[in-house]
Amino acid sequence: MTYWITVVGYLAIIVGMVVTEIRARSNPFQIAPLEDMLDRVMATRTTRLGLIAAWWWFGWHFLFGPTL
Amino acid sequence: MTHSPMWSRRVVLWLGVLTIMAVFQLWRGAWVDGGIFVVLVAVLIIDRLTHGRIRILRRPINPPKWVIYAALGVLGTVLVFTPRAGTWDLVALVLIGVVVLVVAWVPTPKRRELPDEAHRRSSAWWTAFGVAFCVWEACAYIFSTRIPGLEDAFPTVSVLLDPVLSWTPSRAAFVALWLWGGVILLRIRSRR
Repeated sequence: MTYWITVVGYLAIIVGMVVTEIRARSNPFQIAPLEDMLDRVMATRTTRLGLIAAWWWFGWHFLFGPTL
Repeated sequence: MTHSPMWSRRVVLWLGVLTIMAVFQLWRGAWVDGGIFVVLVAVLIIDRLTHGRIRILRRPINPPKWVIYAALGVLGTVLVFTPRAGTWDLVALVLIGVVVLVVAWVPTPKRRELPDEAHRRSSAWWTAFGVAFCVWEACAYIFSTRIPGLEDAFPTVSVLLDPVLSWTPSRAAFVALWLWGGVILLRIRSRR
């Protein structure tokens, strides 16, 4: 039971992300689409490298790192 | 060079997030992952302390698109078709890491301007989703590793993705999505 509650939790968050992005793309002046928001957030080197590093680590973790 | 305040709220918050990542990885015994984040935080703090004056390159790298996509094709092939977590994977991932660090050091041009309020709403939603995902994953990890007998009751994302990454077609899809995410983040599509 807790297994599926955990999985549904992940799925709910992912669905929320998708719905938010669809809404943003249909009305960008209400909610900025992800790409526009990232453009602004990544204006400083700290946030840019932080986001890029988080993306890289995601690949590193799943493709190379051991499952702990 | 970015002309932003040395310690703006955004910079401090991001350093905080990366520090939490480093501490969490070290706490769970993932020394390499933790070490990566420790080094990253140190580099970013040094960059702030030197007012963003550290220069890796004299001018931004801007190769033709076909070179970028050919490189992605080669690296993607290595990541999909060589043994998982083998030496070739290590080489490819380190290579990608070094290249994106160099490319991301300099900013890319903005696409368009939208109202501040639209950006605030978007940031709030995506921050909420990001925090929720991290907390959910951290709770699953803590419950599954700290409560005896519940090892399989609270799957982490790693546990859920493990069988996906063991099968070549789904592994190829994961690698393609991951590389595509990097292309979007680095805004390579808007380059030459």
